[in-house]
Amino acid sequence: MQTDHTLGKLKHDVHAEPRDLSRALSVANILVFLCTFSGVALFVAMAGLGWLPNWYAAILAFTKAHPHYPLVLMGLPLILGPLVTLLGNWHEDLRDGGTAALSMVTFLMCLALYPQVLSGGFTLVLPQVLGYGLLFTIDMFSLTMLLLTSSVWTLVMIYAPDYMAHEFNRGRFYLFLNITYGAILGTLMAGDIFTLFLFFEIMTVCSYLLVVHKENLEAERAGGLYIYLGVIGGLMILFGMILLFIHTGTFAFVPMISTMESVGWIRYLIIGLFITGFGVKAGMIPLHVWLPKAHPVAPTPASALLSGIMIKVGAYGILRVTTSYFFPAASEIQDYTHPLWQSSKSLGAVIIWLGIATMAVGVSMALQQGHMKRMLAYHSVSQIGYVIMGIGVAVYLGYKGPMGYVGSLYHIINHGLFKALLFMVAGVVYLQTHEMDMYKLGGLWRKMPFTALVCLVAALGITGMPLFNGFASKTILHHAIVEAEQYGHHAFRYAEWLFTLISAGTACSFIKFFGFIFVGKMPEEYRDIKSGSSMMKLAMGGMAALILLIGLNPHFLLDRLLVPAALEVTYDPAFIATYITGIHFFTRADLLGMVQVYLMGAGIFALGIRFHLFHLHLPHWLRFEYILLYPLYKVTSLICRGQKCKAVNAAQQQQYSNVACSIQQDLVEEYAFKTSEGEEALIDDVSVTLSALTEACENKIDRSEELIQWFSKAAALVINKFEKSDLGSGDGDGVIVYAILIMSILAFMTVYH
Amino acid sequence: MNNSRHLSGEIHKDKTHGGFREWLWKKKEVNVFNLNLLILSLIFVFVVSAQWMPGSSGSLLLGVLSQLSFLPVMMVLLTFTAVPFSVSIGSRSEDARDTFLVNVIFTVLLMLLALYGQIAAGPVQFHIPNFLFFGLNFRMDRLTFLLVMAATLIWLIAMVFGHQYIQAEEERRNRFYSAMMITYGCVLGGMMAYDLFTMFIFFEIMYLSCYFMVSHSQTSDAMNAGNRYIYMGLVGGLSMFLGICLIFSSTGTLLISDMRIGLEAAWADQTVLLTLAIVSFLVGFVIKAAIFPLHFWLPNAHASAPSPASAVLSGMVIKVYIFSIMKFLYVAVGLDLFIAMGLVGFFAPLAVVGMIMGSVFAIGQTELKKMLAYSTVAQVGYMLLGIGLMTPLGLAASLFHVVTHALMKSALFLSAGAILYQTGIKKTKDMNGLGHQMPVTMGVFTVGALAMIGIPGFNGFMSKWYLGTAALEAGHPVFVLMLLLSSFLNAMYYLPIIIAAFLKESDSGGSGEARMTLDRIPATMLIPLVLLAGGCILLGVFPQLLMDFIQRGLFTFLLPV
Repeated sequence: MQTDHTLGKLKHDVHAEPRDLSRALSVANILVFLCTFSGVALFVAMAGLGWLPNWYAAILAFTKAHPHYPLVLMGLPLILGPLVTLLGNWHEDLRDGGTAALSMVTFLMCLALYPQVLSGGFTLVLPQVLGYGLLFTIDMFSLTMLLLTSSVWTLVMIYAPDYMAHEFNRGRFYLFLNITYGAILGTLMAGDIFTLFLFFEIMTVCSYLLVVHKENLEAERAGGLYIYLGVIGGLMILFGMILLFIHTGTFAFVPMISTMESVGWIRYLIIGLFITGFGVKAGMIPLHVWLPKAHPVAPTPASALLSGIMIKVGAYGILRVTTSYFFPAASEIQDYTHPLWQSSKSLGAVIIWLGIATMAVGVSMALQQGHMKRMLAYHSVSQIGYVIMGIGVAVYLGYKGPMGYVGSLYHIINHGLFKALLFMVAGVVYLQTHEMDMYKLGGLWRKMPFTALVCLVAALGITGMPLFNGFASKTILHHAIVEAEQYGHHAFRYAEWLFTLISAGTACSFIKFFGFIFVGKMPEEYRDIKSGSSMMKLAMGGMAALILLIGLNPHFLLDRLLVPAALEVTYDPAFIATYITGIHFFTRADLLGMVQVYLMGAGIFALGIRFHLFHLHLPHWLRFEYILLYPLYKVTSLICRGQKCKAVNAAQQQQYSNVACSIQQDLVEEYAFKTSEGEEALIDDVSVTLSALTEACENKIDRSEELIQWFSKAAALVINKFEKSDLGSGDGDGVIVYAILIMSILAFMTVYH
Repeated sequence: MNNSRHLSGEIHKDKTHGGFREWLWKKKEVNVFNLNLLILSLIFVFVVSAQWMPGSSGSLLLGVLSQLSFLPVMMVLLTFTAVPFSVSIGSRSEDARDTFLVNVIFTVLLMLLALYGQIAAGPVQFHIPNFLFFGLNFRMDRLTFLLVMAATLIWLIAMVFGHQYIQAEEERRNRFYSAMMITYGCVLGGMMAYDLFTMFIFFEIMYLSCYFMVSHSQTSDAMNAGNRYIYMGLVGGLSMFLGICLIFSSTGTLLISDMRIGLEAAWADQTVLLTLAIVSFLVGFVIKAAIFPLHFWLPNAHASAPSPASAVLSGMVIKVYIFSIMKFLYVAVGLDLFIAMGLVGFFAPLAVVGMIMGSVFAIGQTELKKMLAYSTVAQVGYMLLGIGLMTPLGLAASLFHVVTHALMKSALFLSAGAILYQTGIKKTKDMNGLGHQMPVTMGVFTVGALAMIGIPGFNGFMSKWYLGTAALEAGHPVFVLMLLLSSFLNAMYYLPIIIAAFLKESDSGGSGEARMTLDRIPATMLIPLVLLAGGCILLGVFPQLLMDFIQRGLFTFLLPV
């Protein structure tokens, strides 16, 4: 009724007239694509096969000679990015192509860092900035994340122009995309929690603009939840940071459990604050509530990056913080029985179960979704659960935990690839059909065979089919949870069962995803759709190629990136050498395990179709938002009700004088509108309640001021009268009369108020 | 009530101002005021860059400047004597008056810079005997220098901003500028005052002149706000006066550096009396600095003043009291006595409640300036928290926040003024889509608001950081939690405005691709805004510049001569 009045005019799902992309842009993007993959090929040749040793040495010498390399890497998107965006005012193709080229250059620069990082890492200190100075360190862990981020970013930038041609405000989108990119690079290169926090917050604020890009009501709601939870998470990290600094005097990511032990129970508070703060961004339950709302409403390139990269930054934060602040230095311990491992053991157990719960909730919610992107978003929650579980094992097993570490890092990479690809597929399907509900689609493989193919690749990847990338990380993660049972507590046997069950759920979910969209009978209205633009196919093909390359040779990434990363952490080198470097992926047991998972998944799918289980929805009181927010909502509405009734009465009786109304009319209307919307508008709700309270409080002040005025008026009256009358000159009798009069007026007013 | 005046202002605007672009192209606004500003900024750059000049020319200039010997009280005198001249000039030409006043403030700035050499060597203290029977005492040390400098810069910016704003929005401009200058003089005097009596005199003059700024528009709201302001100020002043009398009767001195000995000597005999004296003096401060339970005069007062006046009221005037509390508590009374009085546990919780409640009340506001004023109440809580921690680190954090807040809040109030100037919007709910009409102003507003929320990279984050570390070091993790809660509450009332301004469409048309146009406000308003935002970011990225200065100054501050 009053949408315009209270919420401003919002754009509803309208699409801009698609702009035409020039051929030059396609050529440029193909060049970018080729450069990216030749970079990958060179990397494989030099780092993997040991060809071109001269080049390798030259690159090493170059990076060594330039200590400000990380700043340039970060400055490209942070400073050049906005400038390139400005070019968009002149020619939009220049902006789109320039952004893709910038991402490609950063990717190549990240690749070039490899020799230097392998031979000891990269450190840069910017003293004095922000009081404590900024510290950038690039180790293998950072570099792995940097490579993932920049490669996915480049491919998505190739994909983006076609999709964004249908959206408004493209300039703003690219601007904040670039800044977000720079901030993510900064976050990943940070060498201490202070620097990390700086860039993490920039990322939160800038990515908000990506979430609310559509500017409709849904986007605004999702964005509100995103930014407020993000701010809360940021404040938690800040609190943890202050505690850490006060108690240990350092921010740096160095193993320091021996210092932390001396702090007492506060160390659990610190680490808990960090994990919660990063967990908000990662989508850990119960803080995942923003994720299934925010990811679907963002434009597809942004959702691909949000799900593919940004939630991983949260996971990166958790892994980084736990393995540095809760780990002993290598010189302090001899074996895994050392008492210094006690704290990480108790922490790790909690994280494992948090991860398992996140996985379970994500999958069970995903199975009920019909909305493509929302389903994918719930799968992001579930997959991040795998990562968090891996982190848990990495922390829980301490000296013997590299399996969990490598597994979670590997899964971060793999999930970044296939989830971005799946979102891109959803975007292509949506662009052609303008339909997000997968139950209303079907048989599209005839119309878009290439998209169907890459979707199949991604789906096989996410479900863990051998020869696709998900298999490698899921196998390692499975080994990790089994090890947690072997070396740790037997209760993790149930965790392992749940792990298998959830993998089956994932399989079922993607059978459903692929089946409903690409297989089956095609609805009539999609008879004339096209297969999508070539640039989108190019980007998706690149992503699928990466998935296949990793899947076909899972050892390459493991040996070149992940094992060196694990060796930087305080883990048993002998354990890594035996169990990780020497791991065999395609063993009979693991392959049979996968068969079991697929069979179970198919079984669940058949059951679901037979009994219409996918359309079952949880009762609303079981929803997380509801459980979390309802008590708060109830309290605010209780407080508000009294104020509201008063205000409505006042409005009815037209008693609107300057002090008589206890609440402004527009506030009442706004509140009535908001409450009719349900508990979603919680923040508004709280603010309306608070404004009612403020009104009431201010009125009290006003009223007491009025009282004082009345009093002084009455006094003036009385004194006037007294001076004019005969009594003033007479004896003292009159004074008593007037004193009584004043007293009675006072008493009357006290009672009245 | 304001509509007719606003309409006339609108017409006036259309006649004279062509917007930033036209100003650039057609050079319409080349007048005395702007030329003078240009010259002044050149002089400023020249003087400041003197220390980097090659060879002897720089040191020669610095030498000449620091050779000028005069008492800092000259600055106060200069501002006071400028007032009658400004009225007589202003009745002939408005531009000439504004130019004159800006020049006066700029002269003060130069005098300050010239004083720096002396102050860096050691505090400058001086006494004017027989004046007002007790004589006046002033002292200028590093911290005083810092705050006086901040006040001068904020005033300069507010004056430059006000040049066209006040002409377009307000009447009775001579009176307004007189009040503004007297307040400025009092701020200078109050910061430098080194005995309780001098302090009191400047405070009393200040609240009278502030009253004229608060009630300037003479509407019934403004008059009510002014009444509340002046009566509360009166009560606070009287309470302070009682404290001064009692302290003088038992110690025989009013000088801040001597007082501690006298107080400690008299403490054993006159415990109750002295406690009463100190408490009543502090109650005066609590009222005047708008500390939480007695804050209620502030929101209306600061909101109803014209925007440049609100900026200086919230930005600097409140800080005089905060700084005086520091002087009184840490130097005059001393921490030992204060702890003996049992008031220690009282200060910080009060501050924390103020921090939370100020923000809570701010959430409920529908009017932009009133919201900003309530936010000031919360921010005063931050500063008080730093004082209440009773550690040097807390004091340093508090001083840092004093400067930080001066920058942020004046940026916010001035951008609220710019919004009022261009669009006439006062309510927050009308601000939809404003970011497309005035991107620079809303950008400055966003910088100020993000700083308030405490996003790293802006100065507000660093003051939160310093306060948080200080609170933890003093052993109060709860205060840190409250600090963060208050930050979240800040986000709850600042973010919706930013979101509405940049992401929603205005109610009055404009569809499809929102077209962004540059602000239609004159450059004399735009540049001060941008300077303030730049200051916020500069201090956010290099807080050490300020913090080092404060920490060095704190040493001389805490050890009286």
